Amino acid sequence: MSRSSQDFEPRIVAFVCNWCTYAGADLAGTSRLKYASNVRVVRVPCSGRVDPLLIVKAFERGADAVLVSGCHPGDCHYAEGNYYARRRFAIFRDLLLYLGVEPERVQFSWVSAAEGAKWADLIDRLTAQVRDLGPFEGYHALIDAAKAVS
Amino acid sequence: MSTPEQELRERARELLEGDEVDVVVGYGQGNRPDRTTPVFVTAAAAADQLVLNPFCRNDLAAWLTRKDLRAKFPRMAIVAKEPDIRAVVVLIQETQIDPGAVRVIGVRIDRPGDPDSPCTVLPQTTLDELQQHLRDDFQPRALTAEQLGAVEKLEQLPPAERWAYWRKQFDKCLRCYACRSGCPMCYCDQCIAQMNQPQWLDTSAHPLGNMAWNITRAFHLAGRCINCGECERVCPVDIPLMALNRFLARQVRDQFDFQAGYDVEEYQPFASWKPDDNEDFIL
Repeated sequence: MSRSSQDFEPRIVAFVCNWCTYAGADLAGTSRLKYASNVRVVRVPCSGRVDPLLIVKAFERGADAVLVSGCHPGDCHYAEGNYYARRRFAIFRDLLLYLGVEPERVQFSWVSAAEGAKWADLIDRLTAQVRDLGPFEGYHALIDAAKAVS
Repeated sequence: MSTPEQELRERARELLEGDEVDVVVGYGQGNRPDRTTPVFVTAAAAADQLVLNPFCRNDLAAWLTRKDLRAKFPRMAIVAKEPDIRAVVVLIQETQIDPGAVRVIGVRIDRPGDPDSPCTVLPQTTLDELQQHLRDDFQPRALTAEQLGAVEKLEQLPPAERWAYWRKQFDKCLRCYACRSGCPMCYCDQCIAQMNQPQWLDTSAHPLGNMAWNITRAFHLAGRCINCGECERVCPVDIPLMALNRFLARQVRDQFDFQAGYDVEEYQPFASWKPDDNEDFIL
């Protein structure tokens, strides 16, 4: 599992809301903006739909970092889904950090449908951060331990 | 002058004689002097089974949501220590129990588990009075700096050491779910740990499944945990679960100015929001 940092390509899972960030990422594409290909986008109806277990699941499947991104406050298609998400993830992120997960591995952002450039920048920045950090050895070790007994 | 134990029995007798409840769930003598066991008193004549001593440890509020018990005894009274009264408050808040069908006999045990600890029956009988007591008298004694000491000690460690610490703790987990059984706030008919379509949590007691389960258990109690400490006490492998629960309780308190179980009228922190909630962490 351990690879040298030169050939390490971070695997980043992004849960993005259908109405803002997905459209923002789409805009980045249609605008022909070039950004790191390390992100795997999962489209969900709303950032409020993202159960913290989805984040755990992404780590269980080998993600090095997870991003949850939705509409800016006030812009939610469902009026207030992102406000609930904001509270939930404020605490859930604290919990993961308390358990010893590096803060770079659990990220949250607001990206609107007009912010294709912000999306491209964000992914580049995040990828660089996680590349510096290296693979999520802590969780990868759990995966290996599970494989060893099953 | 009657002893607190006699007072407790008298209160139970009154409730049963007055046909106010169908059962009183309380503590009875266990199989050793330092153990108690839940007892279900259905007749006034049997109220003498009830005991009150520092070994009354279970959080009996966990029985209030048991469907089998409720089918038999729709109107229940429970003997509740101060944290357990908070559990009753949260259960009402979450519409799990009907406030009209539950009576609380509040007791105070100053130092649970210490044979010399004083035990008293609280004079308050209605839920309003009990909540007032909690806010005025109990809240200052809850989630103290002393209780948060273990949390702060862990926070001093660098992330890698914290991860190693929790990894070691969670690796011990047997997935016996005693923490869940003892918890008054874990009342789901079907726990997500048992769901298999889709299967969210690996059910085997291996490090991967244990991590997911322990993260889930802790987070499902964020803003709900009433700090009774039962999960940690019943854990057969001594995982310091309260160091997770208290951490989350502190975060919720500090960020949303909310503590569970003091006011039935209050909104759950995750079922509400404010426009100016902290978003420092959002890019």
